[in-house]
Amino acid sequence: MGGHVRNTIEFVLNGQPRRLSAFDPTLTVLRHLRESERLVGTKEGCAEGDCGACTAVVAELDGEGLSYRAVNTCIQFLATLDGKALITVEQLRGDDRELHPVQQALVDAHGSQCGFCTPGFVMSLFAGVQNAVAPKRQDIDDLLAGNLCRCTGYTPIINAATKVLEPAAENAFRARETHIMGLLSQLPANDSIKLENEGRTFIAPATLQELSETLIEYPQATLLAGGTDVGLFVTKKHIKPDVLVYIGKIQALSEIAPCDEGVRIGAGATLDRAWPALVALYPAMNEILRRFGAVQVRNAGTVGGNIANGSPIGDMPPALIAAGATLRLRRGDQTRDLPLEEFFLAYGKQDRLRSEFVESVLVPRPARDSLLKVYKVSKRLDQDISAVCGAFNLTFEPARGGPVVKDARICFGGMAGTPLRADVCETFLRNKPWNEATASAAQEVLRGCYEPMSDWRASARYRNQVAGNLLMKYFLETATQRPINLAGRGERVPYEA
Amino acid sequence: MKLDDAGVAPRVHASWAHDSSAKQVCGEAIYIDDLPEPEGTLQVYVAQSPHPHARIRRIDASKILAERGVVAVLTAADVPGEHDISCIRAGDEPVFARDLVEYAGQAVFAVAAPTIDIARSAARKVIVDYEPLEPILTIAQAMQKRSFVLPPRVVRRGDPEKALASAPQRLQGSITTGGQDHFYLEGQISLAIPKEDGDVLIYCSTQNPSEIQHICARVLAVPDAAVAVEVRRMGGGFGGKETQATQFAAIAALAATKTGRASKVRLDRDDDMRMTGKRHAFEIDYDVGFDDSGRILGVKFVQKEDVTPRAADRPNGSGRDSCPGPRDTWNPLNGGSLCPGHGL
Repeated sequence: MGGHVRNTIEFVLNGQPRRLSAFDPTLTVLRHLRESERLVGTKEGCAEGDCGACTAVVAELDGEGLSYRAVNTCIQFLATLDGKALITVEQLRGDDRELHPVQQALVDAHGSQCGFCTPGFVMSLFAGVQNAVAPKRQDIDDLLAGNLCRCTGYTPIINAATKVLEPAAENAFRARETHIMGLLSQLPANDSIKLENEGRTFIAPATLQELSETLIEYPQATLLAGGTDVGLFVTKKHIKPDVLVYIGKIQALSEIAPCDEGVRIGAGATLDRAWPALVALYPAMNEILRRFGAVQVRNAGTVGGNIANGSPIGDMPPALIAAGATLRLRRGDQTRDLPLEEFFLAYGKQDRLRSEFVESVLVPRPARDSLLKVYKVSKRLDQDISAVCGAFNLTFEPARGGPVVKDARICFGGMAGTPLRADVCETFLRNKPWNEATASAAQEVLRGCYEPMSDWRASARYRNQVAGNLLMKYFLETATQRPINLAGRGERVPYEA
Repeated sequence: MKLDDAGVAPRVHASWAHDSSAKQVCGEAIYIDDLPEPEGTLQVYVAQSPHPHARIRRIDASKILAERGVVAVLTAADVPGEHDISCIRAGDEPVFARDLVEYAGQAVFAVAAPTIDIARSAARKVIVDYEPLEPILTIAQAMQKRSFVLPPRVVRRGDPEKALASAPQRLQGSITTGGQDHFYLEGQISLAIPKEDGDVLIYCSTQNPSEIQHICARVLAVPDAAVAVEVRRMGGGFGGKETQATQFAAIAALAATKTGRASKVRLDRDDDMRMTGKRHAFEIDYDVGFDDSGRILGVKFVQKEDVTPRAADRPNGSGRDSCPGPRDTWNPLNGGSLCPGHGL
């Protein structure tokens, strides 16, 4: 690597600078907090980023102020905190031990019972206050979707949230922001990191060039972005990668760049940051992003990671493939572009060469007279993995007697070992009048396109039934211009209490 | 709570914050894993059978005892006292499987080491020679083999056969309910600290500290007075820490007394969900007779419950006994069978 390489990480923990070296690169933030710092307010509930008991807030310099992101510390690696500030539940009280308004609101509303999930809720609500989330029921539900409570019941917690999210009164924490910003501005920036400990290596290149070189030197490296998947290798499979290459310090990879063709999303851009850009092109992607994990997952996980890990049940690939996205891969100085669907070769196998990495994905503008819809079917509405995720993008041509299908792109997740287009159904639909008869016939063709498996999330029969049903839902929604919600809230509509 | 000068709460029907709430919202409420560990505390990994039903031919832990940090390996042979943690003393709940494995996830041995990572990776190197046996995995299989953990029991009132036979309308069918995990947010955890004269202090996340004391004393072959159990609070229990915490308290206590070092058993979520499980699946056949207005005249239930092979696993008492319904005129007949599966 060209520039200066550090063998330490530096960050701010609860308003105090920290410099660390020689630790296991797979050490999670949560274990470090509990075992080394003895900050035991942050709890482990599931160790897989599902329950939110371990939620803490990462603050970063952002223009004139700080940005705040709630994250699951159980699956975030400590080394990725470099250059950032971490705020845990222990830092919210005022200097006089006065409770933060979020804490006081939970006490007042009887929002804790066993109390084990409570610090996580406190931190999610704290992030909500810092980010000025509106005290509307829908927004509160989304803010807290990543926090699981088993005994209190959500009503008191939502009551507390409603109260505390009202345009906030001054609280002691605000006075600490300047202090945190001061410390953050003194941390080294723009240099790369290489930590080695007991045979394991963590490398955080600072530039694209350095990343390319690093991967040529370490072709066996595990690429790390948000850690919402790689973190589970460690906490669930108990597998520790020998070499972790973290892409989070590379500015160029986190860019979200509008262009003539549409928008180019860097592989390191988080789902939360990519959300508005995607929705600007395809409003229907809003629902899939709203239900993508939950806040803590979207704040860490990336669009690129959701593609690169090759999961057949990632929620971004079906939508992006239906939209006609193009993937850009890089190896050394060479880049190549390929239609996103061609990246997925088979279960667990992607078209990625040795030392090659996902650089960005280009999401094109919608074609004229096209309509993309994407539907996620999961056991729980929030914070769940899809049983079936179907994306439909049809282009219509006006004709006498009603529109005719000019082009069709249909892609499903959860129906095969990869995200898979329904080629035969797409061909069947082209040049057909877009009416109920066509949609009905296409349902059967669609069901013939897949041989899904049965697993804990759904049976093969259920998946096939649902896939066809979603096509009919798409037809009805395009025909009536109205969303059809059979369960839950479905689309993001203003909630009237 | 603010008390008046006489030490009395000023009014009733008032809403008070509970006494831990301020600590909980600050992360200052102490759960067992938050306690400072005594110096040299060992972390104990509980290794489980991958087989639902198997005979254990041999356990060979000789290789790992030389591993860096491994302090002790515990098996059934390390239990000095009664090898049973059944809350009804049924003799069918060993701390560690002896020669027979009866469910996937059953504890077979445990490794104590300074860190859980060392303990877990060492446990992978222990050789357990299993002879897999044909498991019973479904209620249907258990019914076919007449495999019941306790004899079927019948609750009867009136003359249900006659009421059913003469009812103008009749419906028969079957419903199934899946099993559930209690999913307390704080997993099972016990920290055992050895004291003088073989005494042990166990910090345990349990809904039943007295039972833990009695059973651990029996397992350790010491008087009840030698075992103290302390629980300040739990991160949820929901019934899942009434009887199920005992096994992990016992393992921690065994490790502590064997090594003379404080020993902690803290299950991660996956191990917890695999090893415990008490809200069982039911299959209930029903036969109901009623008149044209819908009034029930007679009913017959056959309740089959999918349990692990232990007699204390018998919450079907509540399922069965609450079913007869509010009216004598129902003429209920209620048959319950505990069908031990070798659950996965």
